[in-house]
Amino acid sequence: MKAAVIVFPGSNCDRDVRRAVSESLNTAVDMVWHEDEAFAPGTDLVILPGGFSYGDYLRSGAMAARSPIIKAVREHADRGGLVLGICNGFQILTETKMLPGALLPNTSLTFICRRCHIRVERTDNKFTAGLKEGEILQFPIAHHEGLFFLPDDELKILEDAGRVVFRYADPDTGRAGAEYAPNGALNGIAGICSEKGNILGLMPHPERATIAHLNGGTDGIRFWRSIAEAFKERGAC
Amino acid sequence: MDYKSAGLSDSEYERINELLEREPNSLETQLIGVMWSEHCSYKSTKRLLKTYPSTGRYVLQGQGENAGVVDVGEGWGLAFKVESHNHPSAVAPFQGAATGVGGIIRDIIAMGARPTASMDGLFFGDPSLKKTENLSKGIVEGIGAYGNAVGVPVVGGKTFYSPCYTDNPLVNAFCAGFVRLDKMASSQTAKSGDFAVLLGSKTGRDGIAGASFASRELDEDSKASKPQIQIGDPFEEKLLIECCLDLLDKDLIASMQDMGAAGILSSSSEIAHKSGCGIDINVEMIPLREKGMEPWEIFLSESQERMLLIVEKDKLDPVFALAAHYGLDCAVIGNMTDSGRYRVYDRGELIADLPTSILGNAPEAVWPSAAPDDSGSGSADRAALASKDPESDLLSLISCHNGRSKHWIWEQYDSMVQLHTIEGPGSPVAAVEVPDTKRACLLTMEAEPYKCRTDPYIGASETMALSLRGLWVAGAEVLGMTNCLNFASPEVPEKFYELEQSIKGLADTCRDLDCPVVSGNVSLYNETASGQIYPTPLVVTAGLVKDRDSRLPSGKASSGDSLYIVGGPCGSLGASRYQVMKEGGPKGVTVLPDHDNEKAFRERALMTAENGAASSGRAVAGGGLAIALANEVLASGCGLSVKTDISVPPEEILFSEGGARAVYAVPAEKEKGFEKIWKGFPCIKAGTFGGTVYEWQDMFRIDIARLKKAFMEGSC
Amino acid sequence: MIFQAEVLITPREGVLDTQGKAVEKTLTHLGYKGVSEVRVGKIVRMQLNAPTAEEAVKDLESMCSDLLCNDLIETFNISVREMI
Repeated sequence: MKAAVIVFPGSNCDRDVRRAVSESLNTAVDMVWHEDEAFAPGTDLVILPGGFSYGDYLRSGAMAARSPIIKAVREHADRGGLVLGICNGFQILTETKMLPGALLPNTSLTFICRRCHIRVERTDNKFTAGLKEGEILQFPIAHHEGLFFLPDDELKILEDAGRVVFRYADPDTGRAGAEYAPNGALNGIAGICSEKGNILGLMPHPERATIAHLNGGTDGIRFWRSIAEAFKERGAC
Repeated sequence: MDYKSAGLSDSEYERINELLEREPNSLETQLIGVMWSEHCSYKSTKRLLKTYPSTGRYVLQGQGENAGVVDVGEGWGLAFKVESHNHPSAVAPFQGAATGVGGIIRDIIAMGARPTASMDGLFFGDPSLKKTENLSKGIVEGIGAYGNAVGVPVVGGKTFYSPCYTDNPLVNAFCAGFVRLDKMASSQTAKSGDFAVLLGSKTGRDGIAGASFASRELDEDSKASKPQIQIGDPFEEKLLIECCLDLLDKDLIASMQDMGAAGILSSSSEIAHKSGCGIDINVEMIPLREKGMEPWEIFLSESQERMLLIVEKDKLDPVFALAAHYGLDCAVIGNMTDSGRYRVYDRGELIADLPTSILGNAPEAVWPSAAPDDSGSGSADRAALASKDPESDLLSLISCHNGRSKHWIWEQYDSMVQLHTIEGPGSPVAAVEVPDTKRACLLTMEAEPYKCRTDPYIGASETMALSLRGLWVAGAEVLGMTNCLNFASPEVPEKFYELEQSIKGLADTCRDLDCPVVSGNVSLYNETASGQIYPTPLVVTAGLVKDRDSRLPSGKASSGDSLYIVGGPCGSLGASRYQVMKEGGPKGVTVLPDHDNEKAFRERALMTAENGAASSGRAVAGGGLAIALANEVLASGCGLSVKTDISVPPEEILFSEGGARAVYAVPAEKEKGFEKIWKGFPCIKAGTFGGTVYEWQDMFRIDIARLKKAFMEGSC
Repeated sequence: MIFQAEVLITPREGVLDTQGKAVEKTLTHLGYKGVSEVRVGKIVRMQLNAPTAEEAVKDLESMCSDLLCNDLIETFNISVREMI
């Protein structure tokens, strides 16, 4: 599976994502500058990484969403290619309107960095097909604006369409919902996908739960493998 | 120009006249005044700092550069330094702390290293005051806002509360980064003919004469000096990091210097002086953010996020192209010469002409030193210290501001970005992966203000020994140390004594225990009308494990493990946290580290880690044995039952501090091996881990849930 | 003509304004009575060149739609003043 990570001015987790993906899938990962206008031919997965693109100035992800490379991201998604937005990447995707909603400041009005548990709500999209519905994963969070918001009526449409992919959860009971969201996200929504299921945005960082000897856990490995399984025919690894 | 308002004394002004063989003009007086301020020149402490041992096996770059560098193997060096930003944080906590973080990060970049780990030593005042709440909240938010945006993780730190810091909080910012040895940058390699290039933000009026501000006590007028506070832009800094590393990677720059205190002036004069060149600067070529700035304002501006690059002629074009790629301003502002002179031109007119040596060579300030008679080095009141209720005392110690969990602070910091953090905040020893290797760097940050108050020599020595013990227990080979010396005015003999003795204590312990001092910072005049801070030398020591799996962690005790206490059950109650809790202020003296004893401890601790002879361990520190064990219980999530048959008053065995001591959790099958290693050194088997209770026979019995609540919420 | 423009951006009705809530709480805590409906927003000021004030406002509305304002969660208010 050919992957590309977009680097915006201010992105911080780009190299982290490259390492996590390349180490867990033994695959090369392109780094693509935000001013480029195309991805290498045969790119399967485009990742918008976490960080503080443009310093989070004006609104998180607002200016990155207007970068030259975004046109190519839209076209890639329209062709059915995979697009993954992690943390700031998720914020950027909502600003481009490729995903609905907005990420507001955490209820605590502080930055929060810690381990975090999420429940897999759906496996009928191209990212979590290799996971089990209802399983609990641990991906660390690190953000100041993670409160997923949609007006009530649009929120209902999103939920009914089965587009909530991850929800904040309690690892002991397996229950998920708003009460387990560390940031106040509505309905405890941690990650959502597009109508066609080929664009996924999530606030927690799977790349931080990939390298075993570091302090973030290893549940991310299952996530990357699940994505790679979607490309078995292409000789994923 | 009135030389006094430039911060110069009569004798200093006389000296300048002597050296120049004429009177300096107004601009020159300003320039020298700032470079000769305490903050820039270290004139009160240079002589003392020379007594530090600065060479060692692993030292690649000692004091005198932007940061120290030690060899960590496989072609990597670790650049690290700690720096204070005290006065700005007292006046504008958010920006003061934020720009402190920005400043130390640039010192690391200037060595060619990617900043990869940071820690902060924070000293706040009386926690019951609204003022302290506001200052601490602003400072923590400022550090987070900057560090998180710029993408450097916080891996540890130290937070301490004492009323002496109420009007004078301390913010000591530490940063470390890894550098490829063949890509290390220097400020000493500029040569005549090279160009001086300013990279980064435009220059404005921020922080003008902030260096002199840092060299004076804070008074009511300081609040009105808000224009002197620098404003940080972490986004610009992030671009600066990426651009500088890219420039170095492409071999486009010869030399680099961070623009910190006294911005353009200090960076340009330092580079010229250290490289043995002269430099010509053209004021009109410096990109400005504000209209009508005078040359002295431009030179002294402390606008953030700027670096000075020295570029060879044929590399100018690619440097400019790369800066444009990152969206950074870039301008040639002058060139290196062989004149040995520091010359400033304004549209062709020579407006300052000084020998480069004058700016970096402030005459030493010699202050008298006198031992105080009220330091409280007399013994504490034995009766007042008796513990009538050890359980209640323990809970008080662990729930008070200095004992409780600081997670409310470090959860506001990204501790994982860059994927190098093995052990992060909340543990006594931080661990950071050396990129692409199995190695890991370990870091401890320590300060002991109570102990330094009652006896600065012993207190500083114990501070240093404590930071080493943490590394030894974790199994690390010590590489080097950086220190931030926070003191009151050196012009008061009793306060100079504290400074002098603290440096001596650090120097002696470093020398005897093989730890070179590779970098550091001094912050003097930390006082206000309401009083002076306790002498607060802060140290950060770096160590190395060649195989990260051989690191001995803390907080990994398992049910069934035996508890071993090594190094003797008692230290001293003098100037301990328990003693201060009981008597309201530090009294009495702690144990003077016995260096032979420390070496015997070191040898065994390192062997314990290397042989995997224990599952978990930590050095005994603040709060003594009872608190070390409480922390181990909480971190491990495992109860503990302790039994010691030692007939001393309970408070002595539970809460005394000092001495080379540690606690270990040892699984049954490893006990024989452990005892063999610790032969010849005090070592007692004192209990068993397991259950849901932390109990000590005849002393206390506390439910872990209750202990956790006291620790996490500060209430019992 | 040169205009001095101001775009006032505030959270939409019905959007969680945690900052506004926190400010309201603190003001109340400080003793200010009868404070409610606190919203925290932002101002973007600029100088711009346009043939008429109407054109200037149209440009600004365009800017809001293109970048300055996230229509899902914010509303904006524009004012222009000719610079003498």
